[in-house]
Amino acid sequence: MSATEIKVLPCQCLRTKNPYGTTPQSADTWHPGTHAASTYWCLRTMGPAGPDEHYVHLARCIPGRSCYQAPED
Amino acid sequence: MATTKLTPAEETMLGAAVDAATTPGMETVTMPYGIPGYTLTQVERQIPSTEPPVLPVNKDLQYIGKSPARWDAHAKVSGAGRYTADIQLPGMLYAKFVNAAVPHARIVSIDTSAAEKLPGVKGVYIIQHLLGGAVLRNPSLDPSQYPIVRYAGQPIAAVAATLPHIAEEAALLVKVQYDAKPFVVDMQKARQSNSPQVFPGPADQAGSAGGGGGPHGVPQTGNIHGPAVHKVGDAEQGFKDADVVVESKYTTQVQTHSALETHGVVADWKPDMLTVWASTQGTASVREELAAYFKLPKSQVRVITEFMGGGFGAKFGAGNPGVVAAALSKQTGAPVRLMLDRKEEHLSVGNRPSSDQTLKIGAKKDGTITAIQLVSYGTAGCGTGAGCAGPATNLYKWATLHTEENDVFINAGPATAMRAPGHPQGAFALEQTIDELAAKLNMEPLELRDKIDENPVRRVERQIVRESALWKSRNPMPNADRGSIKRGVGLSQSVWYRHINMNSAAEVRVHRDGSVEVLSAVQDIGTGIKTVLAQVLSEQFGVPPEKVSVKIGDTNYPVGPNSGGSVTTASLTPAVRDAAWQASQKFLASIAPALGTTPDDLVLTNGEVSSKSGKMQPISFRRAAAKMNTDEVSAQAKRIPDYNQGHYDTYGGVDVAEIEVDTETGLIRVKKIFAVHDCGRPMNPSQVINQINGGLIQGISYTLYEHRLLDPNFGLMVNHNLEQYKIAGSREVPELHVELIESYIGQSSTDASGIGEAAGVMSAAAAIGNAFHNATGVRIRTMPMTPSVVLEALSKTPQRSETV
Amino acid sequence: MNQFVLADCTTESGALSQLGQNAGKGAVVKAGGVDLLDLMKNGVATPTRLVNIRNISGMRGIHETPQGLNIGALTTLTEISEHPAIRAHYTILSDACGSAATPHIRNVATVGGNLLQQNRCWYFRSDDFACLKKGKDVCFAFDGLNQYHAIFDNGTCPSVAPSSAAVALLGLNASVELTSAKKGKRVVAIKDFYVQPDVNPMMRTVIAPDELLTAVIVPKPAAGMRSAYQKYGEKRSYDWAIADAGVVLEMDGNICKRATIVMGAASPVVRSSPKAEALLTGKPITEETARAAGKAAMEGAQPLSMNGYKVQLFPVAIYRTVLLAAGQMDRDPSAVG
Repeated sequence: MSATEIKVLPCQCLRTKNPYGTTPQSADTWHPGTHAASTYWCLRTMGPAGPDEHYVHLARCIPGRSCYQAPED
Repeated sequence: MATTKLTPAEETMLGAAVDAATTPGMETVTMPYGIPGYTLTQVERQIPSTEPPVLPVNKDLQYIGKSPARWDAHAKVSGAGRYTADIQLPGMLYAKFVNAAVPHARIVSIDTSAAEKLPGVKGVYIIQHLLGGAVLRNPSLDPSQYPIVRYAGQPIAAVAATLPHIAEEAALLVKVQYDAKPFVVDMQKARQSNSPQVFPGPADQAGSAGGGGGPHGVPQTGNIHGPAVHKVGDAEQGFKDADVVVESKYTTQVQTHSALETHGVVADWKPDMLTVWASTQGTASVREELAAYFKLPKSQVRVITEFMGGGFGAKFGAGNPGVVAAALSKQTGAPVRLMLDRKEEHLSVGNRPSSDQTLKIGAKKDGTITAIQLVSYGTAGCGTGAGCAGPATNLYKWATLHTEENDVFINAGPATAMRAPGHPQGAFALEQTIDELAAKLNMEPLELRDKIDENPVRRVERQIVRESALWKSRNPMPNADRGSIKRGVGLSQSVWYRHINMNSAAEVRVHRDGSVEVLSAVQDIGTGIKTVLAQVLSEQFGVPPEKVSVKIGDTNYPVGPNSGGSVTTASLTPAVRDAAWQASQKFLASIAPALGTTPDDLVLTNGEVSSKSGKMQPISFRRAAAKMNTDEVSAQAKRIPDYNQGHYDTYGGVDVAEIEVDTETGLIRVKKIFAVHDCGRPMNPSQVINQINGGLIQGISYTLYEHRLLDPNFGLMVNHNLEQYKIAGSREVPELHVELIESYIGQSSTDASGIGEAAGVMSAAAAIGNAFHNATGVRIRTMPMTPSVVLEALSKTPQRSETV
Repeated sequence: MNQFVLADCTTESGALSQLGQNAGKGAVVKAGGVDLLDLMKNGVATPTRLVNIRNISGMRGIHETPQGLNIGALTTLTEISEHPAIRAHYTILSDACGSAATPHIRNVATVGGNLLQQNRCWYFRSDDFACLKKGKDVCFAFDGLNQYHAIFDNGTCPSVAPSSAAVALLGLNASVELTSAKKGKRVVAIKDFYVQPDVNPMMRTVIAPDELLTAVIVPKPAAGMRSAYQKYGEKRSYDWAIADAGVVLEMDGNICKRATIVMGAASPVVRSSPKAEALLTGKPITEETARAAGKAAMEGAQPLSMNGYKVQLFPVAIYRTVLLAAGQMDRDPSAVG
């Protein structure tokens, strides 16, 4: 998974323990995971569903989702 | 990362220092590289000139690479160490969750009046559905004040009372009215189109954002999130090019983390500061989430973890316990303790997902792998993360690869990361298939692996295994024993990847009384980082580890890495060594004038300060410190990037299991494990071996015993304890023999690496599986390997021999 | 766990009077507390009063009498398993007590408590399920998860008998002494002590609410008696039996004059197998006769959806234990203990 494939910034509330997301020299521990073994939760619900009751995932917590909050907000 | 094909170490080991002389602030150094006794050589690196001198190999060091006693061993075994549950604060309240009793429901009402009336109850908190601007995904859902219940055991509310048993009783008095919905807890049923939906509503299509291939391009269909497709080359053609093709299905179960210490916090909300004691793998992660959740500045959130009783990947972030305890503390004005019980621990705070894998490998007659194809379905409950393609992708060399990983939602607690996420599942299938392939190719298991794995470290490890008494004792003919109890020997490899967490910093202080201390927010999750930090200081100051102080587990100190992904030692120790080096330079500058010499004339060894030129007689470190011109000197350093950036190293091992299969009772006994592992420079070999022992035991336990069992008719876990949820005990632990090799990679001022994930937990199942085949001639492809499963496998499969 | 009164008793008469006064009002006897505390923590047992008999010294100890053994109900499993005379002459009993639970538990668990503990069934033992054994009208195991449940006598409630000691004591034709303040003492044979679930699933034994199990009485061994017990669990440390076998043989040379074969984890109440016993009677003990006995013991077995493997496992447990009792085989390394 190269950085160029990440075309959108995920929601600021997306969280992952990130077993893989800590790339070798990354300073950002909360950089979302990029692997199918990554697990996710939502900061606002502390669970695997977002406020809209849909599951949270790097592929889902993106602009256009009603509960999406951009990282800069 | 795990989907990146790893390059052999040799490719990048040289040529780092092309323009070192001309780059300002950089210098060229020579570092040890390779494995002493096998491949040790030297490598040139261009590094910042502020870096401390290069460390030699372990045998030339006094404290690093040795195994001093665990720094906090006495505190742990004597009970003096304070874990989160030991924290007692004046006026502290005890909180207890109210958890969902059904696996899928809309909550109609929550009546807390009876609980509130119980004497001693001081606060009640209900987890609200914070819709905010969100629109419900499924328009047919009635908006509710409360979140949808998606698994039995999901926290709904909490009560806080003056005594634990009052809180427990109050929790039972909270009345929850459910509008129950159809549920599914069986993964096979969940895959069917007519199954109840865990996340109802319109499905997401592939490519709704981002490109294909990565997780952005993963579609959703019903309860299936997937496939996440990864293709390299044309696998179809790869199978056509193959002389031999092996294909099989493998099944692994859900395992829960079952750390001895449950999740929990003590939260103390004061107007100017929220202080939280937490059982966590990341003090930084708890602080970040609490600050973000409550919209507090990070400077007003302090997280403390003095002692920690295990996490295995499940303890990151504040979680429901963190936010609920903090909210109750804010509401009641008193500190609140919220520790989960064992049932909650099994249900609501994570697990290792299951897997159903179909793995197909094609190879040429000489062993060259032409294609690997893996299709996996697994359930991470009502979350995602059941992918398991890591081993198939990264262990061996292949010409083409095609993996498809699918998450299947069921009404069960969400998975969290668990020690080498995805890898024990993936290795169970891959490493048995590689053995099957070797047999078809008429090759020895080690011979084939030599052909398809060019990693020079694993190559040495295989050599050690090949020469071991245990491997030599293996009868290459399967099912050779004639009695009902059959002996077998099998092996498996493991792999993990070098990750560095740059949020790794430390401060080192030297005081005029001769005391030395290191401060970092990092938490010791049981792996022994406290001891290792003491060793780093000792090496720098020449004083024994028991003479230095290690203060960690507190966000008041410089930031420390979250302990996951085997990053802690590799990330933090270089920062600590850099800080110690800088502090020692300041210290020498501070005392040199009084000693009548210059700082570069002074040496710190054996608890003394001595002069290279003989200008002064050696004096004790304590007496020298008394000559400091200020009370304290200190230095803070943060992690700098690896010296050879852009190069991925792996850690791994080759593990051999000797087992006995009682073919009449179906009982498997693991007799012995011989494990050869690398973890860069072992900072404290006995602690590394401790972790490998633990990983092997956890792996054996997963292979033979552990199984989260959900009743299919009610969606409730039936073995939510440590009695029927079976976990290896002392008598299940075989003779464990770990051979640890030193593997220098020239990457940092300590050249330390990690061990947690590669430490046997991912290889145990496949090694036992391969040993089972060696013993019986039958492949066992289902876990856990209980008597029921073993007898079934033995009765269904005709006993045949894969040759070799 | 609910709130309760703890009545600490130091004499047998004190405990009997506590029971007499509070029988039927939620009073429960607590000895080692091993099983009871688990049930209370899980919300399955909710006693209002615990009559603690743990500290009654007169109820503890192993006495050799002309008739055999008299074992105080508060004697621990460790004390029984390590007693020289029991190890020598009642091997089945020392084996059984020594293979229960863990060393820690055996050090506090009493033989009385072991005999009186509740059956094993995860539905019964969870507060999530209200089943037949809790006075409701449904059993969840039939259509649910039943891999550890009974393969015999399982038509009503397929929970399994938990006590290893009961297997040994049935094999030894032992009895229990029950005492009440009102009626004094009575002696009930182990074979009559337990109640089949189809009689009353809530009633595990015939003990009355005001009665105390005060002693275990074991008859003197017959001439030529040899015995053994072996337990098989998925794990060797701290696991319940998935199969177990108690064997008592009366040997005359290599001819078996009389055999008793008992199983625990096969049924809700420990059961012997007359068919298996008959196959050994009057015959020499060989691997062939031992295996035939094991096979015969499974006649009439009705496995549930997930416990068919037990039908394979019990015959192995039985033949290996018969051979162990006969001195023809070493203790099985696959067995616990």
